[in-house]
Formats: sequence, C-alpha cells, structure tokens
Amino acid sequence: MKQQLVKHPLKYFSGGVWLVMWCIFGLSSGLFGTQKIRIVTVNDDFSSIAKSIGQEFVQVDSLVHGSKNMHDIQPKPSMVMVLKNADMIIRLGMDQDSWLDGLIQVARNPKLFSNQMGYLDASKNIRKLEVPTHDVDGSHGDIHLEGNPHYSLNPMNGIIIADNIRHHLVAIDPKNKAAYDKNFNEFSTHISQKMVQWKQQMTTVQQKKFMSYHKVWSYFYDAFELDNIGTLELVPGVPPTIKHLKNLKDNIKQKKLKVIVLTANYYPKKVGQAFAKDTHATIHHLYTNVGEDGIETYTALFDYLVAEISK
Amino acid sequence: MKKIILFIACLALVGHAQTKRATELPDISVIGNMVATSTDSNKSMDVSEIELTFQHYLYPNIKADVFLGLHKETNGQRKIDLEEGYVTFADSLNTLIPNAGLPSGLEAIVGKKFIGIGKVNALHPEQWQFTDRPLAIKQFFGQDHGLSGEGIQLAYLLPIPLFSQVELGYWTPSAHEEVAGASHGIEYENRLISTRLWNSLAVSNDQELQFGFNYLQGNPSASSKDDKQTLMGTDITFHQNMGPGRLTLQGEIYRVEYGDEGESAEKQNGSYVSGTVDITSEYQAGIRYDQLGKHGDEGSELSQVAVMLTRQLTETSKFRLQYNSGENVENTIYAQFIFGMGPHSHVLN
Repeated sequence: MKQQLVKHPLKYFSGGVWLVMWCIFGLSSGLFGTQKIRIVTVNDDFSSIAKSIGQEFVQVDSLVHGSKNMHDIQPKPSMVMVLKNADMIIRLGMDQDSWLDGLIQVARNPKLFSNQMGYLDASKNIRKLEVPTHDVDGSHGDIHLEGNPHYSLNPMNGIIIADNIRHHLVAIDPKNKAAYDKNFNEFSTHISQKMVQWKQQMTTVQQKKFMSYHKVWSYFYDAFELDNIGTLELVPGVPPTIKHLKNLKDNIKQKKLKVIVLTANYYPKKVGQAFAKDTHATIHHLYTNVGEDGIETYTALFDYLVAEISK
Repeated sequence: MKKIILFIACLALVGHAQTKRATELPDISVIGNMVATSTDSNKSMDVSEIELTFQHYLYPNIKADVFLGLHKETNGQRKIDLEEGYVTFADSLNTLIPNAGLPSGLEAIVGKKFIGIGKVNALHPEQWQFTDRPLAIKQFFGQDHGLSGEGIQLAYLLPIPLFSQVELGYWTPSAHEEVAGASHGIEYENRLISTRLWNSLAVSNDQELQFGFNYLQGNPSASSKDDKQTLMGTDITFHQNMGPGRLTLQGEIYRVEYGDEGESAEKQNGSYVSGTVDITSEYQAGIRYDQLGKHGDEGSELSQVAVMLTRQLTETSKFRLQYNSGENVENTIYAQFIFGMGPHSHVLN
C-alpha cells in the first residue's frame, strides 16, 4: 500500500504552535530572564573553573575540547562566531595560544579587546617556571620567552586562575560580587583539601624518578615535589634523537634508577613505550586536560592523573 | 647599496627584538624563502624572497602591519619593495566617533594589501600549501605574488548565526612583476573593485566547511566592456581534524573576461583542487590539480598535477619537495626551504 504523503493540516498547525511557543520563550527569557554572562575559554580546563566561579550567572563555551596540544590548534571561522557574542574570553597566554589573536581580530567584539575586563590572560599572577634567563633562538628548540606555559597542571595554580576569573567577573557584573566571592572561596577550599589527598596518594611514587616526552609536566612535578630527570626530546619541540635516547638509557641503567615516563596523549606513544621497555620503566600515556574520557571537571582531571600515576 | 645597508640595519634590529622585555618595539620578523627549480630548460637556485615584517598595535583596536620584500628580479638584481603596508581599524566607526553608540564591528583596512579574493591570493609565500601557486591563480592574480593594491577594504560580519563576512574593497592595483618567459596574465587597469562573501559552517567539532563568492572588476569606470577586466569565482574549503593534524580539501574556480591590449574582451576559465594531509605532526603531503582554459581562441589549454611533501621544523620553518607534471607545461621539480625568525602573525584567512 502506498504511504500517505500528504500531511494532515493539524500537523502544520502543531509545528506552528511549537514555533510560536519557542519564539515567546526566547523573547521572554531575553526580556524578563536574567542575562547570563557569556564566557568563552580556549579549553575545557578554564571552562570548568569558570563554571565553578560563575555558576548560574554564566554560560560557558570552549573553543577547544579535550586534551590537545594548544600550540597546534588551527583557528576556524566558526570559532569567530563564538567570540563575536561573548562577554569575556579566558585564554592560556604565554604564546601558547597565539592563534587566538587572529580570531579576536576578526570577531571585532570590543568587549574582548586586550584592554577590556572581558579579556583575561589566565597566566596572570602565575609563578612561571623555566623562564629563559638568556637570549633564545631556534637552537634551543621551541622555548617560550615567558616560560613554560603548562601551568594548569599544578592544581594550586587553578586557585590563581579562579581568582583571576573572579576578579574579572566582579568587574563585569558587580551586583553578584558576593556570589562570585563565595564560589571562589568554596573552589579554593575544595582544591586545597583535595591537594592534601592527592599528595598523600602520590607518596607511593615519590621515590621514583620522572621523565616525560616534552616539558608538559614541569608544574605537576613542582606541585607534587617529584624528581624530574629529563625529557625524551633533547630540546623542546624537536623529536628525540637516537643518540640522546641512548645517553638517557645508559644513565638510567648505570644508576639503576626506577623511572616513570609520562607522555601527554598528543605526543607519540610508541617512542615512550620503546624507551620504557628498554629501561624497565613504567609509562603512562595521559590526558592533560579536562574533556576526555569522562573527565568533566578540573578536580576530576587531577583525580584521574593522580590515580593513574600513583598506580 | 644603500638599500642593502638599510636591510642589514633592520636585521640587527631583529636581533635586538629577540631579547625584548617590556619595550615599545614592534614585533619584528624575517621570513626567508629559498627555492631550487629544475626543468628540462632551466636549473636554478634562488633566494626567492626575504620578507621583513613589522607588526604593532597603535591603539587598542588599531594595528599596523608592514611587510617589506627583498625580491630577486629577472635581471638578477635584488629590489626592496613594499609588499604590504596597512593599518587595520577593527572597530572603525567607534574609533572615529567614540561613545556615540554607533554599531560596532565594521573593520576598515587602509593601505597596500593583497586583495581579499579567494583563498590563495591574500596569502604570503610561507603560508602557501605548495611551493608554487595554481596556474589559474598565477594567470588571474599575478605570477610570483598575489594581486595587491593601494586603497581601502571594509569588512563586516553579518548578524546571522553562520559565519558570514562581507568584504568590499576599492583599490589602485599595483603593477605586476613580469617573469621572463612567462605570460604575465591579466593587467588590471585604473581602479579595482573587489567584493567577497566568505562563509563558514562548523559541520561538527572536527569538520568545517568554508565557501566564498568573489567578484573583481578592473577599470570599472570604462565605458566599453573591452576595457574592463571582470572576474567571478567561487572557493570551497573543507577541514577535517585527524589525530595530530588535519585533512584540507580546497578548490577555487574562476571565470574572467578581459581583452588584451587593443583587442576585444574574451572569456577565460581556470580552476584548481587540492588536498593536503598531516601525516604526522612533522610531515605533510599534498596533491593539486590545476586547469587553465584558453583566452577566447588564443593559446592552449593547460593542466598540471603537483605533488608535494613538507617537513615542518617549526611553525615558520620547513623543507618542501614538489613535483609538477602536466599538459603544455614543463615538468618541474622544486626543493624549497622556508625559514622564519621572530614573532610573526597573519590574520585568519
């Protein structure tokens, strides 16, 4: 039997009713509802922290989702649309997300210009590690003049980032200052309490020596007082050489070191695995940002990292 | 000689800029493009271009970009010229008349600039995906460099949920460099009007589709069609994130109507399609097919395939090998090294 293709008039009516209701809802929320502050962050780490501080007063979108090398992000025009309607941008800074500058320029949203309270470089007030004290050039690899940009991997830096966000939110939306202050205090207390727990968990591996593929983990080592003995890359951003790997292996074997190798998920897994096999080291190939595999908050990121590394 | 000394002095400044701490110096960078070319009739090794760039914010939403190019001319002499030099007013109306509640977001670019038509023309050589540019792009926009002009370009993001930017330019075109033994393509005369509607759609978190509609007219005030140059075209780009990198498929197609000196206007078509993929974070491979039709009944149809492999060292330094082969064009092997030093940026293209 041939299917009836002609729609019943009531179905059109039903669609029309939905459209009208949707318009009324949209209008009423715009006219009578509370206008949320639209925050755009470069990644989900900052999204999570911004949600903790802004809670019901903010709507947060992230330009990049999951654990990615923030240096290698290709800016897309669709990102411009997210920025165009934002009240605030939270960026990583330290030259790690310089691709964002071109997007801000095309979005032409005056709230996000660098002299406005809608512009937040989250690295502000962070104690930077590995800041070069001498002139640098390409022979030193991909060195950042402002220091190592992976600062979000120290949970205590999360508190500084949260404080930066609070400061900007209060400037943009002073009437909710009390709420932002309260949320910040709760976030800060929560991270501080969790830090005690995480440090306790990490005592199981504190006697081990740590290596990584790239200098992603410097702030993590700093936070948990771990002994870093080097990277598989001879210089940042340049793939490991056979000679350098051999020197590292010889040193580990000679000193009979018990080593844990950490590699971020966006660096080659096989190089680390082969190195770990040759040196009887433990290797962890790990996500370094919120947004992967059920890691939905900044706190959950460290729950995951500490659980994996302290296994 | 004076120009060379000036250039060396500028290089010294670059060295100074590398160590800058809280200064008012602009971002200064040098990009070098060295190309070895081998065909049956010609073998050469050239420092094709040294580009010296100064970039600086003059005001919170006003930025100046100056690109000086040291080029090798056909007679072997080197010449410094202004490749681009422009000021971008990101929010022009509110900059001119602040606190008047004027609509924001109208960008004005004033100065000398590569004209915003299609995907390739406005790019600098270090941004190109291949060593050379497609046959159609060379024919319609210039052999070695993009079509540039001195004038003004306005850009506005349409207030719709889709990324849709309309661009309108009015220019005095810059003279084309003539390349020995090659057709120098279209000579745009008098003034140029350029328009582009650039759209983009996020298909998913990892996929983006861009499409542009382009229109260019040279000598618009001429009374006869034979004295005008009219170009219409479309570009399509698709990006797919893949592991450490991405896949990019791109194509542009143009139809141009112009007359050679003293002759009546004839049509000419040209297009290319290309695909590039990041094999790893260091290696990129690509293939491109070019096509260029006859101008009216003159000349012959040209087509070629280009394949390339790029080894990326840093964001701005890379090796590239490329082989071009086609119909009515010479088979060519390119070996290229591009290096960059100092902070260097381009706006989203």
